[in-house]
Amino acid sequence: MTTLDKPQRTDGEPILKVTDLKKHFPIKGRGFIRRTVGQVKAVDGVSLELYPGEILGLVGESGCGKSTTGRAIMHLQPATSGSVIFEGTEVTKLSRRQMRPLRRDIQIVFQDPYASLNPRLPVYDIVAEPLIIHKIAKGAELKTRVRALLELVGLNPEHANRFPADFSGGQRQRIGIARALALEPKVLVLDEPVSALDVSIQAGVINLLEDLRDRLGLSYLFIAHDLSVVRHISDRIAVMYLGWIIEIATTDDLFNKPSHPYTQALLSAIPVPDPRRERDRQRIIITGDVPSPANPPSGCRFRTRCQKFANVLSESQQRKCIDEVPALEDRGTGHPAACHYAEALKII
Amino acid sequence: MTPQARQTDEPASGAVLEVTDLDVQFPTEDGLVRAVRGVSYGLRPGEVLGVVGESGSGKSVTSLAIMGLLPSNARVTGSVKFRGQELLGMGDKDFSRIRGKGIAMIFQDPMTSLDPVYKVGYQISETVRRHDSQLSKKAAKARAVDLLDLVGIPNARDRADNFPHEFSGGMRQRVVIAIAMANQPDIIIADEPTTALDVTVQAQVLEVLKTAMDETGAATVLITHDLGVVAGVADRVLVMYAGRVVERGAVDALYYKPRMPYTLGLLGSLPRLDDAEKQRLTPIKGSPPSMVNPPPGCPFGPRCPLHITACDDEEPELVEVEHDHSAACIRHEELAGHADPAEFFDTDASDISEPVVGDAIPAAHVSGRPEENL
Repeated sequence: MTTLDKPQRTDGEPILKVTDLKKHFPIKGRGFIRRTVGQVKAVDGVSLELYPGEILGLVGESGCGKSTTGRAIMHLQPATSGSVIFEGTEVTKLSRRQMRPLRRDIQIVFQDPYASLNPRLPVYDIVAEPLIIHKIAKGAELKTRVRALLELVGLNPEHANRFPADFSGGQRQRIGIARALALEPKVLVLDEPVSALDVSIQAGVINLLEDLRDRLGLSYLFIAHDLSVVRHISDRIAVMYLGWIIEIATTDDLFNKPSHPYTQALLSAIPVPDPRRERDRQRIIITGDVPSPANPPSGCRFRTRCQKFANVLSESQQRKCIDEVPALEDRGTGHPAACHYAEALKII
Repeated sequence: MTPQARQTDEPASGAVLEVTDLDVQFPTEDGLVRAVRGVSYGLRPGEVLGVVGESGSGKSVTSLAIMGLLPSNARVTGSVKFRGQELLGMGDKDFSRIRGKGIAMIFQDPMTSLDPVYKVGYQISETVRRHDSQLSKKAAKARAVDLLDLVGIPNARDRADNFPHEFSGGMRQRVVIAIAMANQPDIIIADEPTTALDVTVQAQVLEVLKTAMDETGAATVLITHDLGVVAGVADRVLVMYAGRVVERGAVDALYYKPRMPYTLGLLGSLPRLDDAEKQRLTPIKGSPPSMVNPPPGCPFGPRCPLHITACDDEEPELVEVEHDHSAACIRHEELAGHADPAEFFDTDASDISEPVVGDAIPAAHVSGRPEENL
């Protein structure tokens, strides 16, 4: 089994199509009436497509809205507006009951393997629960299924009667993956699945996720902040900043021709475990912190930290950044980027 | 400093900090947790020493022991000498003359290492006046503003009157660095200084840390779980595993010619940002051993692809394998000239190791799990 050469998976019909998805959280004022005094625009118009068998990486820093996007797609938090179409069905309008059959096909794995498993249930019960709820298996068949699932995620089925606390972090995350796979879903939303794990353990879980994709033909929406991990596993990558996707491209394109100044800064900021290379690197250091999503800058949301805006652009060019929201489109760099002055730049 | 310019592995008498045979134990209900076991190293003036290891390897506990900041139930033995002066067992009054002035520390979490009820300017000038009582309040305040300016806080004069909660995480870590460099310390110990921060902010803070090292000329101990962070700034690196130093050497030797299987495995399990050719990762099977009753022999043995029965006889000593490069492995010679982890580690994705029973080290004594910046 090899994942070394990736086939192009972006032809045909997408299995999941997200259009202009928005999730705003109200800010309530003080006092008795608690009027809504503002909106935190956590996700503010995200569009993306996930194709069968594809791994789409969704990266960004804290607070950029990547996890909220995942939850809104799963309909765990109702979207404010926009549409999520999963295999032809509009998800955002469904009630909880109507959503249930769909849950068989789209499952989620959470970040924290310590908090996402019920500490009072033995592993067998945790993995069997979805099969029981959806009335898929019982009795001897249930036992066989759970054993097979534990084997599938590389755990010893003999340990099924133990509790989550008896397992290491990596093994717990595998239990979470087994639970998600119990219903044989087509799509997995992986929300930072390896970021709570030590590197030596993390590598095993990444390898497992790659194998599962190849064996079961799954599609992943892989949400993470670590670009090295995302590069390793994804076929395509979307970069988020303050509720927007600011660049989306195939993995090779994004790393060879990053076109948005934010993507460039992000790639440039990540240290590599190679002393000679690291000492010789020229870094693009962007200044400041991410602005509040309650009150984002006008026009381009990245302009307040943008090295290009500050150092390269003329005053009239800057005007455009302040006044006009840059559309996410291809400006001659081969893939869409939401920057008026997108230009491919070799960073690594 | 180039790797060639460095001298021997053993600390010369000129070392500013000499740690010898440091042992730290915590009594718990399950028994005695041996968090640090026989750690020795020397820190040369002006050098940057990287300390790398995973959760529970004892890297943070080592530095807290050096600073005398462990809880009182910790049993610390061995020796820690700062400029020839023994620090272990020193009274709090004497020690506080050294903390901040001789050795300064930067902690992982900038949210909790500043006092929320004092203005940041005051917290810096307090540190300055603590070690220089002659200095007037006004002069100390001016020095605080200068320091804030140096670590890249815009409008330093106004910002000095802000409280910590008015700063973002990256800005707070800058303030913490300003406090650390306030008294021109001889040594700065930075314990996971960027782990709680986003990458773009991490890059900013690392730059500030470099400024601090240049300005003060302090020798620095940089503790991290991220092999990337250490690669660019460290002169020498220690790799810790199960409370021991398992490999030590100049940064280039350690990354390009590791001689301890654990180091090699660690490098192979990192997904690389800079590799266009995708390679399968090489995970290390199993989990670190329990620190309550560490099994005899090499602590990495149960996870090691080179494990032989002789490995279980006794715990291997750290031996010099090359000039300025030591490893604690009886089969280190077989690793010479083999820097590809895939030669030794398999890439199979299962993890059927015996589940660990209970976390070995009480959570309160170990700084958090990595990458909790979400």
